[in-house]
Amino acid sequence: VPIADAISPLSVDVAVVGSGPAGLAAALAAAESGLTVSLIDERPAAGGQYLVGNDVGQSAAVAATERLGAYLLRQVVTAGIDWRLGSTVWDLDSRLTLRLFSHGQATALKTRAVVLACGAREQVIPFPGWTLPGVMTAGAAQLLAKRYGVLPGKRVVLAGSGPLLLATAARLAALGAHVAGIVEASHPRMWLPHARAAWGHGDRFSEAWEYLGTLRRGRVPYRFGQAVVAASGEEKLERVTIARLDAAGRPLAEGCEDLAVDALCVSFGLLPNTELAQLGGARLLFDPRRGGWVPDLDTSLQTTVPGLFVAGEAASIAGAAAAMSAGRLAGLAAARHLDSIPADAFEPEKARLEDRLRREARFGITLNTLFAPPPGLDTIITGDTFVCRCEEVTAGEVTAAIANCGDWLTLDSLKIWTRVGQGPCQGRTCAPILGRLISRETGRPIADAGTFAARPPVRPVPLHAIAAMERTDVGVRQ
Amino acid sequence: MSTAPDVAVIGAGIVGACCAHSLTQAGLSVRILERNFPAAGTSRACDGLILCSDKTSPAELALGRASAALWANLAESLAFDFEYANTGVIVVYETPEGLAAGQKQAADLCAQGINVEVLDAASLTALEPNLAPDLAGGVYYLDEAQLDARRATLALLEGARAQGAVLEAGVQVTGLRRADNGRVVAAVTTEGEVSAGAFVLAAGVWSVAIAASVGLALPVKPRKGHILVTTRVPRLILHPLLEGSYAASVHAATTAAQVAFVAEMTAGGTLLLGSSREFAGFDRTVSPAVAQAIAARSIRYLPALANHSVIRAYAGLRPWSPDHLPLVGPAPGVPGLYLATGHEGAGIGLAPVTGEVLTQWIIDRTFARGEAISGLARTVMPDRFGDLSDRENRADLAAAVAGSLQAHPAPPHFLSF
Repeated sequence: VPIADAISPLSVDVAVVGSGPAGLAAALAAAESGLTVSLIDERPAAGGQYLVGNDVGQSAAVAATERLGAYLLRQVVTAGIDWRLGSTVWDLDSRLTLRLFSHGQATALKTRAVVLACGAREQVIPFPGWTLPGVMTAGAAQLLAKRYGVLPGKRVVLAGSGPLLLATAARLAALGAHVAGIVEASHPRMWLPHARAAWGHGDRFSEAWEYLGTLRRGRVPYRFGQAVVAASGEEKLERVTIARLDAAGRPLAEGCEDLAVDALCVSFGLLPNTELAQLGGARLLFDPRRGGWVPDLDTSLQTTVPGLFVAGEAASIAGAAAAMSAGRLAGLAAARHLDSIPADAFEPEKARLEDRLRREARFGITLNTLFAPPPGLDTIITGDTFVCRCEEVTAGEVTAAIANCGDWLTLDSLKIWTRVGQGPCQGRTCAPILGRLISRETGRPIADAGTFAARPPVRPVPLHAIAAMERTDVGVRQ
Repeated sequence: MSTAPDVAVIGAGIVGACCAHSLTQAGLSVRILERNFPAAGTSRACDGLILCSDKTSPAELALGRASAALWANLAESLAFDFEYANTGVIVVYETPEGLAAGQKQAADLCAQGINVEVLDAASLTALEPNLAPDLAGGVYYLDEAQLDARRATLALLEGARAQGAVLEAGVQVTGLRRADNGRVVAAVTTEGEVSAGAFVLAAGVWSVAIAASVGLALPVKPRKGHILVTTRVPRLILHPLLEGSYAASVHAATTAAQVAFVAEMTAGGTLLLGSSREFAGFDRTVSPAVAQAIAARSIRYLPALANHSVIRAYAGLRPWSPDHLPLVGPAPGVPGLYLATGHEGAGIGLAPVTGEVLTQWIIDRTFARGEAISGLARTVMPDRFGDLSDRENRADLAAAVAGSLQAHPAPPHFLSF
């Protein structure tokens, strides 16, 4: 992909943040309607997490979607879009000005509309030993394998819940890793009631079927209704302890089993990245079917802030196909918002995309429901387990604070009490864990714990870059 | 709800927490009403320096010294650690003229018993090797201290709760209700009315709206201040640092934003960088322009910071008062109501003495406990601004505010926007 960074307009009609399937579709839709568009991605190459890498160990169905994505990518390249790869967005203000950090410089980009397509991050339920070298998320293992052909270890266990475990295991096995097992918290007997929702998603099944074939050939055992409850080793991972789960997802003490491994890939599904939407002033709501905390969106995927749209996994965990439809809808809606396309052209296309999105998202919603980590599983977070890696705060410290806080318990008050979330990641990893801990300790719904307030910069920015910002970049009023 | 407490404290920031703590120490029953959660407002958006060196009037200095001594005691007596440390503070000067003025102020403060040490360029570098090499020198104020303001708020509240105080968070006070005799008898809240024997209004800049419900016009305005937080940079500085013009920036009262360099190392190893002061209404969003100025000023003094990253920035609304002294004591003409606001950027430093003065007012208006506390109490009496009654276009208050603006023009080198 050519990286053309020469044109640097200080303002554009539409900025799209994230160049995965949703961002590409949004940028293309907005550009087609005659608007100037900047497409921003913090990675040096476009395509997001999805459209990277090689074809090893990948199903034909995924390959087809990726081909569609690659086609989009080519379209975007020729559509006269202002590319800003290797650019981190660290601020988004209520006037829809973005502040970027790229190539050592902080700059501002004024916009009239913004589409956030900044994807998702992985959810992890921590357990003793999860910070040992050799333990990583399944997504990190996927990326290493996809982009660099690197394996996480020689003998690998994948644990958690959800289809990402299966896809990752198949890819690692195809690349030559010995996959010693897939430890899946949910159980097929829980899936039957949801069978109807899967109707019409044959491609997803053929995808799963191909992966299962790969794993069968490699004799990879699939363990259902089980979880890794501890990882141990001197200095690095040497073994994992696997327990069976009861109906509520609580690990059973008897029948635990140790496996010798040098890599453990953990994933409990994905969580939408919401901090830029929050910073822009958008209201969030808690919807587990869409992946937890998500922006409150209207039917045009517009947030509560006019001109600010969210598409793809950043709005709802529903897969790449749904992300492309959502991206197109958000891009067109941004164009409609700026009066660049007439209502009579927009409305029929919107209806068509909404319909498609509903169909594509249904399967995602089913997966999110099926593979949601059961509340009982939170008992694997023992007192000495780190929950905030940045500030090295243990679950024990957090539960003590929870016991003391009483009725004023929120994530922000825990942050004051224990330092959780005060590190450079601003709580992206620990916030969902803390929500679950609060719920476990108080019996109140996870949503009651709220979210951390987003503060600029949402990604660390060197002082020299902030200090060197031009007056036009900092928005000095004349 | 149980029986009415002796005192209801409105606001669980640092000032409300100190008032609640002092009141429970004096044996009173206390209920604290907080609309959000402890330290959710200005007390979590500030640095934690306990300063006497920036006090330019005898009244301020007396309050500052009394309060600093109380902080040292609280650090000993409270169970909850709030990272109090007797670090001292170094005030640094860019120019020989600045240093000369700083030396003069240091001599004045020294004559009043404050421990100071004047540093030439070489001894400044010896104490703080990462400071820019071209500075003229500094003044080391050995007695100054620092703490974590948020944890200090929690520590005081925990201390108060251990003695029976009740903290009700998520309860917003929307106004006060007076009886026929004019006395405030209840706080009107989102959860119903709360009765108490007396009410302490310690809601910072948000006190103004609550006071208005009983016809008071507090001369308090939100003055916005920014902080940048860096990644961990352990031992990059060994003492809190202030730029020489910091004290002047405290007292300047222009509406334009001013920036003066302040750096404070937290116990966690991150650096808090400030400072800014501006009147911008109730807007708490981070201004990139101010962030830029703070970053530039910080690098000017600490060049080694340039390649370290900012991990977050925030702004707090400090309750400014026209004469830079807080309003602590009985609300004029409103029996049953006591004010504890208007501390601006000195809220952390002056919170303990505020709690003591206020408690004295509530338990013994004759101030039999002694001349010292009554002397302090007199300087912060709210009625120094008149009766504060809410008349349209109050001429006297307007004049006081305008006079204060003229008395303290911004020094010319301040960055203004």
